[in-house]
Amino acid sequence: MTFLLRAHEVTKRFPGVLALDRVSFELRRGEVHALVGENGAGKSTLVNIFAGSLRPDGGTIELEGRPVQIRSPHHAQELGIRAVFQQLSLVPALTVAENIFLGRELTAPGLLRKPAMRARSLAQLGIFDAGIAPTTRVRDLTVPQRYLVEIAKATLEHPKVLILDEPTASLTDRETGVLFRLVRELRAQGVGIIWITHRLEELYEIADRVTVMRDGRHVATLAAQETTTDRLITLMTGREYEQIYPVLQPVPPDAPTILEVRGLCSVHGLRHISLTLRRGEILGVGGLIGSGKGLLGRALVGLEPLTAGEIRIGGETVRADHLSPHAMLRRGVMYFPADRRGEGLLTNRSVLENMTIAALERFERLVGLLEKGKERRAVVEYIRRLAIVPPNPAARVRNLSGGNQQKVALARGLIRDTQVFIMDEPTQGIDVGTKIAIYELLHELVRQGAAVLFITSDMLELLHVCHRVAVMFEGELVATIPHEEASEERLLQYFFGHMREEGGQSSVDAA
Amino acid sequence: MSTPRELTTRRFAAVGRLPFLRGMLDQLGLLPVLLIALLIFFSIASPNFFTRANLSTILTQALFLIIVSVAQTLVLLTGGFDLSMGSSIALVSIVVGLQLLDHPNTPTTGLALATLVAIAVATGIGALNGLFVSLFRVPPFIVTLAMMTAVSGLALHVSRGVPIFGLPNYFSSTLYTGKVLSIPVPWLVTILVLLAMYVVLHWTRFGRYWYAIGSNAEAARLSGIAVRLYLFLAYTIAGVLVGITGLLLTARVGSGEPTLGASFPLESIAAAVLGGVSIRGGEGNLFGAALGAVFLVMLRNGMDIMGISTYTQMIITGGLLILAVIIDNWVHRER
Amino acid sequence: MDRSHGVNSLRLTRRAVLRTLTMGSAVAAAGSLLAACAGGGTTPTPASGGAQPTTAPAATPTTAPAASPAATEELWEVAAYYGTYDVSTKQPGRPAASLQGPKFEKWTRPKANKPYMIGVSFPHLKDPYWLAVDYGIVDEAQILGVGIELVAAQGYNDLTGQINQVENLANRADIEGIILAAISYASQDQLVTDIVKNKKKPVIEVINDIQAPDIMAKALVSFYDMGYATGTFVAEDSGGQNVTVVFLPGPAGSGWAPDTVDGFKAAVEEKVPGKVQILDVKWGDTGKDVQVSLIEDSLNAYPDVTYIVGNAVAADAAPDILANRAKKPKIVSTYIIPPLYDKIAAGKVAAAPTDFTALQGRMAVDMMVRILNGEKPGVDFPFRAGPIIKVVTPQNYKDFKYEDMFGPRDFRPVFSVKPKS
Repeated sequence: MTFLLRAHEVTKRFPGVLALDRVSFELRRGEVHALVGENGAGKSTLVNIFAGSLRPDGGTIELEGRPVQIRSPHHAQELGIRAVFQQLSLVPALTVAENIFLGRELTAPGLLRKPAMRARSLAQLGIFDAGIAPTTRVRDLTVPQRYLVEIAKATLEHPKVLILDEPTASLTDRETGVLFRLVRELRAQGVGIIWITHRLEELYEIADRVTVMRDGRHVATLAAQETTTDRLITLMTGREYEQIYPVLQPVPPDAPTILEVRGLCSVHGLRHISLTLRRGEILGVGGLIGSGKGLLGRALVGLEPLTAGEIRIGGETVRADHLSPHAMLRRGVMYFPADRRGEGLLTNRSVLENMTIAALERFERLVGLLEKGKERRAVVEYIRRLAIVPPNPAARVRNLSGGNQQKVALARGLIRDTQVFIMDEPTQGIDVGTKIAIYELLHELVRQGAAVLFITSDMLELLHVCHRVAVMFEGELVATIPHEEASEERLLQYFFGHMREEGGQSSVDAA
Repeated sequence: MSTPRELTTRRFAAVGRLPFLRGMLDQLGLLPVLLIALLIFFSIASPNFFTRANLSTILTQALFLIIVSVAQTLVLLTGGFDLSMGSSIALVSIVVGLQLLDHPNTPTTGLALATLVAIAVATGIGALNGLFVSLFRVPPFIVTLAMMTAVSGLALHVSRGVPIFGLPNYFSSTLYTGKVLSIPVPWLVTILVLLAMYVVLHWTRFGRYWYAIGSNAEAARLSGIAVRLYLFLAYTIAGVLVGITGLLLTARVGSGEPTLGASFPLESIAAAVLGGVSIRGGEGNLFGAALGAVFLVMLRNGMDIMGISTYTQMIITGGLLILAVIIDNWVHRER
Repeated sequence: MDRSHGVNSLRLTRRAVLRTLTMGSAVAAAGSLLAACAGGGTTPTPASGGAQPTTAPAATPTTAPAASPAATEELWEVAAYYGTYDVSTKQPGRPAASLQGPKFEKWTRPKANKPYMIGVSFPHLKDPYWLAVDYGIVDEAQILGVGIELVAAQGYNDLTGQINQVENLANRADIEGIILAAISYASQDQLVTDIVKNKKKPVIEVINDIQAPDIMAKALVSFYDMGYATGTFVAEDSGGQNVTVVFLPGPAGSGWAPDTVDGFKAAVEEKVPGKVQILDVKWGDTGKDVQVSLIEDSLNAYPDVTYIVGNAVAADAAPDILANRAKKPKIVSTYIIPPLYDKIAAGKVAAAPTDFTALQGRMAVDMMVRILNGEKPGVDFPFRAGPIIKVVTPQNYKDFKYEDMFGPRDFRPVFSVKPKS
C-alpha cells in the first residue's frame, strides 16, 4: 500500500550531534499517529523536516508514494503539509481573520475581500465553538484561544498532513475536548495527523498508532490500543525507572526551614501561595502550562510584581521593595530560568565568564583587580566536577550542547555559596545522560544542606526526584504531596483541578 | 540547535602552544593581516608613504579616532551606541577655547581648567545619555541622536557659529606638540587611556559586567548585576574619554571649533566593528577597535598620498569596509 | 535704532536661544553645567544684558546720519549687471550672457516706503561666513526700518528642509518678499516660480548663484571670481616661475568649492600659461580636523609643493602644521573668515580674497526693498550686483573694514527683526 507520508532512513546531523539516525516513519491516510520520546529524541527534528524547516542529510521522503524534496515551510504548505508548533506563528497586532488568511489573503483584483475572509474565518472557528470573533486582535486572546486560532489557520485549506506538536500542553480540558473532536473529524476526512505528545494517557483516547523515538533512532511503532504506559516509558528511556533516578535520601528531621512563603499574590495571577522549603529538601513544583508554576519561581526573586505576601529567608523577612535577583542572590537564593539561552546564559561569552559572573567579588583583590589565576582554578575545578565538555574554560557557551550549558548555569550557583536553588525546567531539552548527572548533582547539593525548588513539567521527575510535590492550578497551590504518597494519577487529578487538598494551604504549611 | 563547535580551536591549532598569540588572533581576527597588507601595498605604491614622517602622521591622526573608538567600544559592549560623541567633542572644544581665552598668560591654571571643563562637560553629556538609557529605558539610538542635535545646537549657540581663535600658544605646544620623556603628549595620553581601559575591561568586574549586559541583559540581571548602574557607568566613562579627545583635538586644530569631530560617531562605530566589536553587544575588545581606527586612518592617508581622487576614495573606503567585515566573518567568526 | 528696537531684538534673540535649545530638558543640565564653565568667557551670552551689537549704530560704519536724505547715499563700489535675465544664456557660476555688464558703480541705499516684512532663508547658520551675511541683512534691515524673519536649514545636504522652510515663509501673510540663499543651483527653480508667479511675492537670491528663470534679482559674488582672484594672486606672486600647487577646495559636490577650482585654473592659464602646476585637488568637509589631516597627508605626499591653496578653514589650520616642518609652502585661501584675517595680519597666510560677505547681505535687503517699492530690477537698479573682490594680504589688510567682511567681532546670530512701525 502507499502511505500518505513516508520517511525512509532519514538522517540529520547537527555539528557534533546525530539528531536523526536512519529514521523511518510512515503515516497513513485517516490516521492519528502519535510520536513520543524524550526531549532530544529527534521528534522535533523529524517533524521539522516534514514541515520544510530542516533539510535531511540522507534518506528519502515520499508523499503519496512520490519522492519529494521539501524545500521550505512554504513549499511544505503547497504540498499540503501543515504544522502547528508550540511556538505560535500568529501576529499579535492583527485580527483573528487577518491571521488566518495571512499570506493567502482573498483579493478582488488587488483589494482585500475583508468581509469574505471574516465570514470564512467565522465558519472555520465555528467548529471550536469557542466564541472567538474574527475581528478580535490576537493579542487580546487567551493562550488556549490563540492555539485554536493557529489550528484553524492550519486547517483552512484542508491539508493532507497535519502535524501537531504537543497540542494539549497549553489547552484546558474543555479546549482539549474540542480539539479531539476536530481531530477525529479531520481523520474521518482522510487527513493524516502526526501527534507529538508527552501525555501518554491521551494516546489511548486519540491515537491509532504510536511511534517511539530515542536518541535520534526509531525504536518501535505500535498500535495504540495494544500498549501500556510502562512499556512506552521503557521504550522511550531505554531503562527502568530505578536506573534513571538516584535513590532519594530522606530530609533530616531536624533540618531548619530556609525559605518560607506566605500568602504570595502577584499581578499576573499567583494567588495566596504559601510554602516552606527546608535545608536538604527538593520541593517539586508541578502543574499544567499556565498553572503559574513558572511564575512562582520568578516571583520569588522579584521578577514578577507582587501584590501581597511575605517571603522569609532563614527566618528573615525580605522587604517587598528589596525583592530583586541581586538582593536574593545576596541572601543565597539563585534563580535558574527555563529559557537558558534567552535569560540564563551569556551565550557569546566564555564558560569561565558565565560561571563566575555572579561571584566576581570572591576573586577580587584589594583595589578591585581580579585574581584571574584563582578564578581560572575554580572554574577548572567545576568543569572537572561537572564533567563539562569541552573541558575548556575559554569555550564559548553557545557552542556547548544544551546539557553542558545547563551544567555551566548550575556551576554559577555552585561557585557562589548558594543555599536555595530555584530551578525552572532545568532538564528541558537535555539528553538523558545529562539529566541523570543533574539529578545526582541536586541530590548532592541537598545532602550538603542546600535546598532546591524544582519546577518541572516532567511528571516522572516530580514522582522520583522530589521529596515533596507542590501542585499548582490556575495560580493557586492546590496540594503538597509527600514523595511516598505521590502517584501519577493523584498528581494528574490535582493538575487538572479535579481535586484539591482540603484546606490546601494549611497542609502545605504543616509539611 | 545548529551550533558549530569551537571552530577557532581547530583553525588556530598551529599556534596552539602560544595561547596569547592564539587569543589575540581569536579576538582580533583578520584585521592585523589586512592592516599589514595595506601597509605593504601603499609602501609599494608610493615612495612617500613608508617614511618616518608619514608613519608618524598616520599615528597622530589615528590617536583621536582610537580614543573615541575605545569609548564607543565601551558603549557597544553593553549593546548600545553613542551618536553624540561628535557634538560632545565640539562643545568641549568651544568651552575649552573660552576657558583658554580667559587665561592667556597663566599656562598652569589655563591647562588645568581646560582639562577640567573638557572632562566635566563630556562626562556630563555621557552621564545624561546613560541616565536616559538606563533609568528611562529610552533606546540608545534616540537618546544619543537627540543629544547629538541638542549638544550641537548648544555648541553653535555658545560659539555663535564662529571658531574660538587666538588661543594662547602654550595650549597646543603642551598638549599637541609637547613631549614627555620624548614621547609626544597625545601619544602618551592615548597609551595611558588604552592601558587604563584594558585594566578596567579585563581585570575588574566593570568589564565583566559590561560584557555580560551586552551579551544578555536578562541573564546579567539574574546574576545579580545592577544592570542600570553599569549601563549608566558605561556611558559616563565613555564621556570621560570623549572629553579627553575633545581637549586633545582642540589642541591639534589650535582653536575652539563648533563643528569639530562631526565624523567621529560613525567612524568610531565603523572602526570598532572592523575590530571585531559586535554591534549587538557583548563581544569584542578595545585593541581591535584601536586597530580598526588605525586601519581607517591609514587607508585615507595612503590614498591621499597616492593622489587618489576624493570620489574614488569614498567608493574604495565604502567597499573595503564591507569587504573587510565579510572576510572577517567568513574566515573567523561564527555567527 | 531706538530703545524700542533694543528691547525687541533682545527679546527676539532670546527666542533664537530657545530655538537652539529645543531639545529642552535634555540639555538643561548640560546647559547649566556649561553656563558655569563658560561664565567667564569673552563672548557675552544674550541674556547677560549687555548692549546688543545689532542695536549699536556706532558699531556700523555704513549707518547714514539720521538727518541725511539717504535715498541716494553713495556707498561701496560694486560690479553691476543690467538688462533682462535669460536663463538660456546662463552658465553656472557666471552671469547670464543676456545681461549687460559688469558696470562698476557706487551702490546706493534706498528708503523703504513701508515697513516691509522680508523672509530670509539660509542653507545654515553654523559658521562665521553665514554669520557675516546674517549681520549684513539684520543691520541693513534695521537701518531701513524693515522687518526680517530668518530661517536656516541644517546645512548643504538639507535641500528638502530649505524648500519646506521657504514654502512656510511664503505662506505667511505678513511676509512680502523672500531673500533666498539657495542650497542648490538648479533644484529650486520650481520653488521660486511658484512663489513669484502663484503667490505674487518677489524672490531674490543672495550669496549663492541660482538658475531659477523667475528669480527677480541677485546680490552675489561668484565663487568662480573668487577662485579667479586667488589664481591671479598666485600668478603674480610667483613672478612667472614654475610653481606647484596642492588645492583643498572644500566639500566635493558643494555649490561653491568646485567653482573656486575652475576660476583658479582659468586665471593661472590666462596670466602665466603652463607655469602653475596643480599636483592634486583634495576635497573634504570644512571641519577643521578633516582639513588638518588633509594638509598633513598632502605635505607628506608632496613635500616640495610651493603653494597650498584652499578653503579658509584649511588656510587657517595650515600655519600651525607648517610650524614644525622644514619646507614652508605659501598659504593662499579662496575666501576669508575671521581667524584667517588675524593670520594674514600676522603674516602667516599670504593672501585671501574677500567678497565683502556682510555687504552682500546689505545689498540683498536694499534690492528687495527697491522691488517692494515698485522699482524694476535690471532697469532702475542692477539685476545682479556684488561688491568688487579685493585680495587681502599682510601688506594691505588694514585697508579693509572688518565689519564689511565679517560684521562686528561680537555679533551674535539674529533670526528676527521687527519692522519699524
